[in-house]
Amino acid sequence: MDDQTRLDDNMANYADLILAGRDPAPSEELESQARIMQVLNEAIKPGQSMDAGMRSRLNHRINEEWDSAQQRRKSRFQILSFNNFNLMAVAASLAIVVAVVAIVIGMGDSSGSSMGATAQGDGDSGDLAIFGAIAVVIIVSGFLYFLWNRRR
Amino acid sequence: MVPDVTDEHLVLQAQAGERDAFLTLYNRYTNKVYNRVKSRVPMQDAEDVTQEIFIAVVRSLDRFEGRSRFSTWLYTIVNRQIADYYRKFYRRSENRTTDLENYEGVLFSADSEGWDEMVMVQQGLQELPENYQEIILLRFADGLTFAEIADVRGQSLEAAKSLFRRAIQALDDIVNRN
Repeated sequence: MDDQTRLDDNMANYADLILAGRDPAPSEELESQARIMQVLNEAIKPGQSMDAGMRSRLNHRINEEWDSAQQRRKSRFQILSFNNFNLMAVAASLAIVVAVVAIVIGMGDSSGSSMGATAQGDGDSGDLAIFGAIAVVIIVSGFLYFLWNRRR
Repeated sequence: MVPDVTDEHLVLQAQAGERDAFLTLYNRYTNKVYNRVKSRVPMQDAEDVTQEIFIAVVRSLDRFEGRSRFSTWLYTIVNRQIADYYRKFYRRSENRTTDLENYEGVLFSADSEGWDEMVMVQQGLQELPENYQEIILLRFADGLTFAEIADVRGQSLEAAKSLFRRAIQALDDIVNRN
């Protein structure tokens, strides 16, 4: 056993003894640190618990806080489950409808006016359909992610 | 109260709104937290600070994600609240010396022998790096054995004892320097 390990063990044993309520005589090499440990033990007194009055006041206050925290939690959940949730559902539905309309218009343009259509016009309606489809994917993904997050 | 249920499991139940689970956790830690608080703040304020700590725990329980042990998370809140206490303490004190004298006076009864030594040790404790403070408090305030401390800190028994020795030596150096 090297010197450091022996010192570590001696100091740990000394702490164990004074915490067990004994008053061992420290070895010379531990004298200064032994005093520190005695003072710490005196100051902190680990076995000591708070008195009944203090405990009762604390219990009362913590129970009150628990009740109000639960109340806040409930109302936050209601806000989430009603306002945000419904709002997102409506937004997602609207986006789907808009995208479907955009796709249908785009398809109608490209099949119904193939002779007269300019290359520019076909391009516009095609772009619109693509943007619509992307918007639907993004919004529906966001909506699903939101739902998934809420249920975790 | 079931002693076998882990803290982390109780937190999950408390997060789901189970008061009994929270109260089991609270009862497990009340004395440990109180011991830590009274080792670092004046006795007259220990009750208020302990209360503030548990209020903060109730309010932020939903934010505990189980990435660390519950005790580690809780002691972070303890340290933060004690730091807050001292910030307010110094802010409100116009005459800092008088307040510090009061602080020393209320920590220990005036007739107890060596109270100035106690104050020096306690003030020295505040100056230690966090890991040194932590191991001293785990042994003296929480009353954990060295084997339990090693387990909590995820290190070997030898490493825990070595850290403890270095922490006590550092505290001794600070007290002697002052």
